Formats: sequence, structure tokens, C-alpha cells
Amino acid sequence: MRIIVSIVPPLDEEKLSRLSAYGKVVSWGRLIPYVVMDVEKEKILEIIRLPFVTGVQEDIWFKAQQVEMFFRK
Amino acid sequence: MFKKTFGLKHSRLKCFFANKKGQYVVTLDEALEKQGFREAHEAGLLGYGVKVAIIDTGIDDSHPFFKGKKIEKYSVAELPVRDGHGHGTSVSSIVLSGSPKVTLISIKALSDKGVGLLSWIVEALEIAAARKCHVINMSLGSKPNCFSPLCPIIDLLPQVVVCASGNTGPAPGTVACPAHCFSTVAVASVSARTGEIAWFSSRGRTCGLILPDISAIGGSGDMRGVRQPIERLELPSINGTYAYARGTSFAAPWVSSAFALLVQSIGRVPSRSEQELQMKIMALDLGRPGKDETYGWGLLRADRLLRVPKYFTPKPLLEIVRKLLTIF
Repeated sequence: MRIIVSIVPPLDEEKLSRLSAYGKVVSWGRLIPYVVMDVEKEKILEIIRLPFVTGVQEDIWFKAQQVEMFFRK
Repeated sequence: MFKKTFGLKHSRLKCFFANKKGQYVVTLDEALEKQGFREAHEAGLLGYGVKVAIIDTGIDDSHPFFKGKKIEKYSVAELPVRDGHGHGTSVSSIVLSGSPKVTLISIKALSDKGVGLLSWIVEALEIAAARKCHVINMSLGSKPNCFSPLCPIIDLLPQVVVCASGNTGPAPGTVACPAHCFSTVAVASVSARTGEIAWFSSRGRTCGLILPDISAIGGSGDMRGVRQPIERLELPSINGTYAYARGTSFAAPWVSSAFALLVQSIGRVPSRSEQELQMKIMALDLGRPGKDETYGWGLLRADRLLRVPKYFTPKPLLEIVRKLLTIF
């Protein structure tokens, strides 16, 4: 499953290599400290326990916050 | 003959409910008037030199409304830059009404179905940070999650991040992610006619915070207009059309505009504590006195920006103090 991990800045090589031990690192932020990873579900608890990790969440869907929209020309 | 849509599809048929009994339409001009933007504009606050990022479904700037406006367009995850949904275009039109001289940075992170992955939104935030925006508007959300990585990421951003509180009210504790994060400004929707909180507007203590932070005009009413009359905003949209829409999505950009005017006024991005104090000043208190769990500080009144207090030290003065400190 794909997850997003937020990191205590700065996001350096050491932190990336430690995370890559748990799964495939897909992408990471250059300005914002986050990592997108493909991991097995069982590994998530281990990732949360890493001291430099501040948040983990599955790559869920967000939606536009409108109740309804109608259109006219 | 008519097709009612709930976000995923839309109809090009003529709008049928504009004059229907018990249903109301609020124009941009009316909303500008009721939230005191006219007075702020007359005082010269138009958003000069301010960059506002809109993380949404993109923008279709072919509408005459967007003629002559400064707009930059980006997208993530190889999505087409152009808006094929209408939501992002309508949100952008509100920002450009409230602060007509801002540079609008439209970042498409929601697909033409109005949905987007968390990884796309984080990527969009990075674009906004790279473009050195002053204000970020996010009229999007998902179920509340106090441990979402979006919260620590937003905490690190120097920008003012304004989010729609969500449309899952009236139950308490329903404020959507990322509006419930500590560093975001959560915006509820109120009726333009009555000033009453919209039935659908999410509210109540979420993740230990008193939310929403502030209210703005974004339409009102329950699904069928039984418990509360339906009120929609008339907004420019895609393919040269106008949209009749309601939701906290359309309340958040008014607050983004007000913060853009504030950034122009003080010459820098206000800190989180200054944002809270500023919201207290620029809101017309509704509901219980002070900040409450229904209206936040109250209804946005942009004309109150003209009462910028003394604690907001202008940037040039800060630079002079810094130079003096380096000399001595």
C-alpha cells in the first residue's frame, strides 16, 4: 500500500535510507519534509516508531468541499 | 429536463432554481458588500504584490471574468492544467473578487471528478512553497484524522493556510482534514441573508481545537431546503458558464482574500498567533460571545482590516531594527 510519511526536518540521506529499509521510496519533498512510499501494511507500525517520523497516513482521496454545483450558460 | 449534480457530473442546462420559491441566489457583488470588501477596496487594499495559491481542480480562465488578471497555472501528477470540473474556477473567482490585484497561482491537485490523492495535495503544497505564496487556499477535505501527516507539514509552512471546514454538519466534531490542523484557518459557511450557520457546515471541537475559526458567506440550507432555506452563490465557472453552488468550499476563499489584503497592509505574512488575533478583530461576532464551536470568531468583515493594530510591525521597520542590531 502507498503511504505518506511526514518527517522532522531536514530530510537527509540518512533518514531516506532508514525509511527505504521498510519499503520502496516513490518520491520525497525537496522543500517540505515528506516521503511517499510503497510498503506492506505490517511495516507501518515500525515506521511510526521511528524517532524522526511525525505522521503516517495511507494515500487516501480528498474531495472538493461543495455540497452541489449547477451550471447555466 | 433538469439534472441535479453532486460534484461528479454537471449539466449545461439552464439553471431552473434561481427564482424558485424558498431558494435564494447570492451574487458576488452582494457577498462583497455584506462582508465589507468594498470599504477595504476603497481604502486601497486590493492585494497588490500578494501571491495566493489555490489548490483545487485548476482554472479555466476563458471566462470574461478572468480577463486581465494575473494567473499562473500548475498541475501535479500529470493532470491537465485546465479545469474540467468547475470547482477550482469558481473558488478562484471568489479570491479575485475579494482581492482583485493578487497574483493567483492555480495548482491543480484534484482531478476533473473533484477528487485528489493525499500525495498530490502534498506535492501541490510544495509547489506553493516553491512559488513563495503568501496565502494558500484549500477548499478540499477528507474524514478527520488527528494524526494526518498533512498537519505537521502545514505547521512547517510559513504561509497562511485557509481550509474549508467541511460539509458534514451539523453534528459536532465533524471538521474535515486538513481544516482541523493547528496551523490552518478553518472556515464555516453562513447565510448571506440571515447570518445563520449553514446546516451542512461542519463544526465543533475536533482534534482538541475549538473549530471552525471564522465564518464567511458560502451558501446555506439542508439538502432539500426543509430545515433551512437553500441559498447558493452565483459564480463564474468553466466554458464561460456560471455556477450556482454552495458549500464551505466557497466560504474559504473569502477568508483567503481577506488575508491577502492583510498581507498587503502589513507587508509580510502574519504568524499563527497574529492570524488568530486578526480573525478576532475582523470578525463580526455571531453566536455565543467570543470564539464558539459554531461560528468561530464570527462572520468575516474585511472592512475591519482597516483597524490594523499596532502590534503588526511593518516589514520596513523590522528591517531597520535588524540593521541597527547588526551595527551595534
